[in-house]
Amino acid sequence: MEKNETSVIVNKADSSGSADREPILEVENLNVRIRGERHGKNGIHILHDLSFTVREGERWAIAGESGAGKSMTMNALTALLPEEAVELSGSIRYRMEDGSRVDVLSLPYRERQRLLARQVAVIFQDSINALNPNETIGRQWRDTVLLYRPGMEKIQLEQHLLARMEIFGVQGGSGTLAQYPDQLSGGMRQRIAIAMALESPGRILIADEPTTSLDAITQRSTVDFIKTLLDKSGRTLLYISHNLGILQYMCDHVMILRNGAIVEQGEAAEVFAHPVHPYTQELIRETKKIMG
Amino acid sequence: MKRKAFLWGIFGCFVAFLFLIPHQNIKLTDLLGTFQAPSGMHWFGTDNLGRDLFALMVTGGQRTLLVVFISTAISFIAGSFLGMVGAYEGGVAQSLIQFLADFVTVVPSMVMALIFSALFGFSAGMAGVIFGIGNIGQYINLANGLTSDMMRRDFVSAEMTLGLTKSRILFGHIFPNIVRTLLVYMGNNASSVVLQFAGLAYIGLGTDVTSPDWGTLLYQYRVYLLTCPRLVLFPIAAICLLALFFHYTFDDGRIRTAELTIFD
Repeated sequence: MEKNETSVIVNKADSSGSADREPILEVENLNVRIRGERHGKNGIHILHDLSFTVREGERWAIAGESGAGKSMTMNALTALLPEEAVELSGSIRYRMEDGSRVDVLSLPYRERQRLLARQVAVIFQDSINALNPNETIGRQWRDTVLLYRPGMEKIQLEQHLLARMEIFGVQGGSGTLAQYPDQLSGGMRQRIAIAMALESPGRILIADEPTTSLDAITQRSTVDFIKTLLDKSGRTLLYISHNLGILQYMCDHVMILRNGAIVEQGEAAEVFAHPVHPYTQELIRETKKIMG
Repeated sequence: MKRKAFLWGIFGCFVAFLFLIPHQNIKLTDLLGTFQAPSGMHWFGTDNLGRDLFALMVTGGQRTLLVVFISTAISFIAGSFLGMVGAYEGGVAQSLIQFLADFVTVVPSMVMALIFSALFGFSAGMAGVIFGIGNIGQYINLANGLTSDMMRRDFVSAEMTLGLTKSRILFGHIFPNIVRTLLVYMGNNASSVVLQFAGLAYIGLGTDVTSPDWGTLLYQYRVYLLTCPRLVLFPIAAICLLALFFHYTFDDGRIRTAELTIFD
C-alpha cells in the first residue's frame, strides 16, 4: 500500500474554541512500516507522515474506508504493534498528569505499554473478542479494578462493581458477574467492555469502531452512552469508525485517512459541511446516498 | 462433565488398585509350578519361571504410570511454559526456544535413551525423563501456536492496554484459554508414552531388562505366543487399554471459544 501522491492534507481553521487548550497528544510525522520476509526487503509502508494535535477534552473522529489505516493508527497510539514486526518513526508525545511531555516512541516497547496503560483507555471493536471467553465477567472486572486500586477490600470491590454496573446500565447484578461473555447479549457485553476500559485512569479514550458489531438500536444507545460518559468525565476522545453519521454525532474534530495518510483534518462541522479534498467529498457523497 | 468425572473416577480407582493391592513377590520363582492356569492363588496364572503373572503385571503398571507421570509433567510444564513465553516475547527468545524445540524433536528417543541410560543408569524414572525431554518440542510448538493465536485476540490487546503484567496475561488469561487443547494433546501424548515405553522396554533400552515392565514381559514371553498365549495377551491388553484410556479421558472437544455465543 503506497502513499497516494495526489493526496493533500488540508488543515481547516478551528473555530471550536478548543485551540487555547493544552495539547494532550501530539503526533508528528508518524510512519509505520511492517517488516518481515513476506513483505519484501523494505517491508510495507502502512502509515505515512501522520501529524495531528489533540487538545484536552476534544473529540476526534478518525474516518476512512476499510484498509485506510484507522486501526493501525490506534495500535500505534496504544503501543499494540509488536516492535519486532513493525518499524515506527516520528514522534507520539503524550502530556502526562504532571504536565511533562513524553515521546513514547523513544521508550522501550514494554516501558511504552506500561506508561500508556495509565494514559489511555481503549474500547475495542468487538466485545466478544475483547473479553476473555474463559473467565467470568466478575473475575475479569475485579482484576481490572484491582490493577488500578490494589489492595481494595473485597466488600468495597463488590460495592464498586455493583455501583459501576448501575452507572453503565449493566443489569442482573451479581448474577451477571458470574456469567461468561458468551452468555450475555452483544449490547450488554459492549457496555461491560466500556465499563472495564473506563476503570483505567487514562484521560484519553480511544474507541475503535465500538458499535460496528451491534444492531442499530443498541448502536445508538451505546453511542449516547459513551457521549454521556464523556460529558461527565471530560475525557478526550479518539473515535475510529467508517460510519460518518456516528462520527458527526459524536465528534467535534475529524481526520480523514486514505491509504495510510491524512487527506483532510479539521473541525468536524466544517469538514462535513464543506469538504475540500476530493476523497472526503466522495466519502461524504456516498454516505449520503446510502443514508438517503 | 459427567463422562469426564466418570473416567477420572475409573482412573483414580485404577491407580489406587495398582498401588494398594497386595500381591506376591515378583522375584519368587517356582519351577515346579510354571505355566499354571489362572486360579484363586494366581489370578493371571504363572509364567515360565513360575512367577505370579498378576504381581508382574501390577508392578509393570506401577512403573508405566510413573514413566507417564514424570514424562508428562516434564514435557507439559516445560513445553507449555517455553512455548507461551516464546510466542509472547518474540524476537531472539522465540528463535532460541524454537531451536530447542526443533533440536529435541529431531533427536530420536531411542538415541536419547541410549545416552541417558549410559550416563545415569536404568530406571523407570530415567525413562520418564527421556520421554519428557523428547516430547518438550511438540508441546513448545503447540503452546507457541495457540499463544500466538490468542495474542491476536482483542482481549489480550485490551489487557495490554490496561497494563496487566506479562505473567498475569500469559498465565492468568492466555493459559486458561489454551489449557484444554494442551490437555487433549497431553492425553494423546500420554498414550504414545505408554506405547513408546513398552517399545523401548521390549528392545531393552531406557530401563532395566530385569524389571517386569510390560514391554519387557512381552519380549520375554514372545516365544510362548503359541504355546501359552495368555502370557503375551495380558501385557498387550494392558498396554492398549491404558493407552486408549489416556486418549479418551483427555479428549474433550468442548472448549469455550469467543465464537460461541447464544445470542448472536
